[in-house]
Amino acid sequence: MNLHPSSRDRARVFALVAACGLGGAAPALAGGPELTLIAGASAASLDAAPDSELSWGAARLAWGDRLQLRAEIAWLDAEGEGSLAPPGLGPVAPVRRGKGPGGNGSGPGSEAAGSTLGASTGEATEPASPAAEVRGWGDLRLGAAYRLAGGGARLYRIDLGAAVKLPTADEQERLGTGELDARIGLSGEYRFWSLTLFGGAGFNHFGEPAGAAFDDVLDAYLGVESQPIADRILLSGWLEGHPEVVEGGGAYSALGVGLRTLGSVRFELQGRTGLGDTEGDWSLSFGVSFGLRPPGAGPSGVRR
Amino acid sequence: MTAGRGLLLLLACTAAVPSASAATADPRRSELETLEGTVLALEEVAGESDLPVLVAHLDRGDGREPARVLLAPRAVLEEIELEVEVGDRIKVRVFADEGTPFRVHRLRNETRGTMAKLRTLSRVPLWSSTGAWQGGGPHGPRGLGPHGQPPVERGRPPGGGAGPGGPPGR
Repeated sequence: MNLHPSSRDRARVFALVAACGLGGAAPALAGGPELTLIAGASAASLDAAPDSELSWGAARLAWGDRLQLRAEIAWLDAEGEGSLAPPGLGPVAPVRRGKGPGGNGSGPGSEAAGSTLGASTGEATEPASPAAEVRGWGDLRLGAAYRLAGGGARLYRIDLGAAVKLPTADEQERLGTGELDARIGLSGEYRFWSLTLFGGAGFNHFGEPAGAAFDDVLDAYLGVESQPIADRILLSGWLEGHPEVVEGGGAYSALGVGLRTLGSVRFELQGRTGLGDTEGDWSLSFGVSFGLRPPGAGPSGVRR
Repeated sequence: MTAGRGLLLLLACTAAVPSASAATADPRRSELETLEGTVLALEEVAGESDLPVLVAHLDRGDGREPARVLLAPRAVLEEIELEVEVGDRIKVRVFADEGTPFRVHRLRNETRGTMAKLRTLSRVPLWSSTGAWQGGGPHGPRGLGPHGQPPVERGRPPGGGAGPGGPPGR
């Protein structure tokens, strides 16, 4: 009998403590909690290997404005080779199979993403079928953002954000790496009369399962968003990217477009297409957000 | 699915969002006009819900008579930190089909570096009959948007990956 807690067990305990902390802090945060439900799909072409495809449904709970806390959990449905749930959070792309040595699946990327992930638990594991379809809960993600400057009616805003991905997912089913990842970053915006310029950058640290080697990387993104059209709809476009995470895996860059609405119930649609090394990759997501404790709608239904 | 097909799907979804395309042809927008100038004077008049609302006399610098624009109750402007004082340079979007003072849809104070929407396109003020602000942030509450919140939570596939949204990847 193995009495040593696995990384998942430790993550679950940590998640429980964090959830209690979030619950305790919630009353001190401005505004009621807000629930966001998200559905999405993405695919990555892995050189000569077949596409890996992932669809998911997620729930995110967020509190506060100047200080915002968030927790998110997702249900995943994935199919493909290698790691279906790559490391990282934030603007960090999936680990791709190596394009260098051993390019077609035998490079460092595939090693990290493949059968070695289970070794992090210290248990003997059988690698999952390389092209099997798996379903299950993904990792729990916790994040916080604090507004350093601006916001409200000011033309600019600067936020400091930090987040962790707790390894609550089953890494043997390739729904996670079984390791904790973390990101810290800055984001900001400046509002012109007709559009808003936004951007951000962050540092990403990846936990490394046994046999895997991930480089910690910086990421960045920059884009513009329209002023509300018809008081309600905002359109945006941006570029995002970061250096390669796995040697030979290639840098990640993508063009994103988005549409979101304002109001008491808000919708968001986002799409991305890979550029350069990630050309052919794509993702789509759709989200709806609403307050769980509406503080009262204004004349136009705009929440405070 | 290729990236092209993905983008086509996105465009199809975009078209399906209610009134997205109709928004650009919104007839209410035709009544809007942008004015820019320096605030010569401020006065209070009875505005919506009989609340005293600030009126700015705007010198547009073209020799014409100053334009009178109806802003919002002074307390509301103070609450959202959108104060306007004599001498400030402001830019406003007004409903120009009305008699003066023109009601302001959006106000930008160039001098103080602030901007906010004060009324909807249906000309409904974003404050209650008691003078409480109900307009949220400049673009409403922080949401999913590409910059509505830190990138870590932006639309990225929860299984991993990224984005100011998420990765095109897995």
